[in-house]
Amino acid sequence: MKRNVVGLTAALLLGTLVLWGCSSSPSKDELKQLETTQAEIASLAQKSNALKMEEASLQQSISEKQAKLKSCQDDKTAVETKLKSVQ
Amino acid sequence: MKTLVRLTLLVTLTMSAALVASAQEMTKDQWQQAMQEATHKRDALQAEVQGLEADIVKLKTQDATLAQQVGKCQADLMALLGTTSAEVKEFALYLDQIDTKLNELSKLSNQDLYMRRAELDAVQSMIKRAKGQKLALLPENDQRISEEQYRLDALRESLKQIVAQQEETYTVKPWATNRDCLWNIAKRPKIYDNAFLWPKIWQDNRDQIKNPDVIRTGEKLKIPAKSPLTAEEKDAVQSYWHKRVALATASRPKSAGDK
Repeated sequence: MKRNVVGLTAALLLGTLVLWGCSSSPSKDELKQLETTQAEIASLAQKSNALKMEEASLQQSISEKQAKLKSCQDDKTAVETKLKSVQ
Repeated sequence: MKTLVRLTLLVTLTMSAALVASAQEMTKDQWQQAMQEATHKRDALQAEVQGLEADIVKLKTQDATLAQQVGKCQADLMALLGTTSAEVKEFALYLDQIDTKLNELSKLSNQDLYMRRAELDAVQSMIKRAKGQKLALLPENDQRISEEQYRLDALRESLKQIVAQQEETYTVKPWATNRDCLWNIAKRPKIYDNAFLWPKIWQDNRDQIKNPDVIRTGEKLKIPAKSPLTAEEKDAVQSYWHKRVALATASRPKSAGDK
């Protein structure tokens, strides 16, 4: 009886240890791979934000120059008209 | 019995530890899913970054082209007007001077504006000079000059009203009854209450009063607003006294001692 109990206990213990050791979990390398990918994502997100700000700044600069060009062209037309009327 | 208990305890502890550990660790399946999502997200971000970089290259080109076009347009405009950008800035500063002068005059009280009324003519000269320059053809400058002329005209209008309010008239009455002369008229409380201001009446009525010692009954004299004698009025008084002294000296009979 005593032997049976001891044997059963040992089997249970062994089984628990085997299950614990052999359960499916990623290796260290795999976990490292995941960390690396997540770091890349953070870096790309930062870069994307910076590029979006640069894009917005360029669009504003373009709008300002377009307005300036139109104003200059209007001035040119007005001056040409006045010069013709003076002549 | 004791051994049995110990063994049972050991198994229980081991199993609990195993359970706790498995709850904390990522499973392979969970890792695979996380890797898939992370890879997908990374790829999407890489595509986004590439797209943004391509857009920025195009925008920079467009920006540079526009800068060139603006420069050319401004150069053409300067050539049309026969001027340089330095002269354009100088002209803008000149218009600023006119603005500053108008601001200063606009803040004066009625009394002060009346006293400084000659400065309105000076500002008008400045505006006229600005209008005569080719740079006045620029719409921006044309508008500024028009606004300045409008402000000056408004100041002149205010001055007209001030003059109308302040300048009174006085009709000269006979010497026999009223003892009216410029000195006594200025002395009157309703006029200046100060006889020494008589030159103001004289100078403002030069068209009627050739000689300040001679005013005629019935003459309507303009009475300018009370203020200290101006430099011109003081000069006129000095000149008057010199003539009086010269006349008095010339008409003095020669005494036996004079040679």
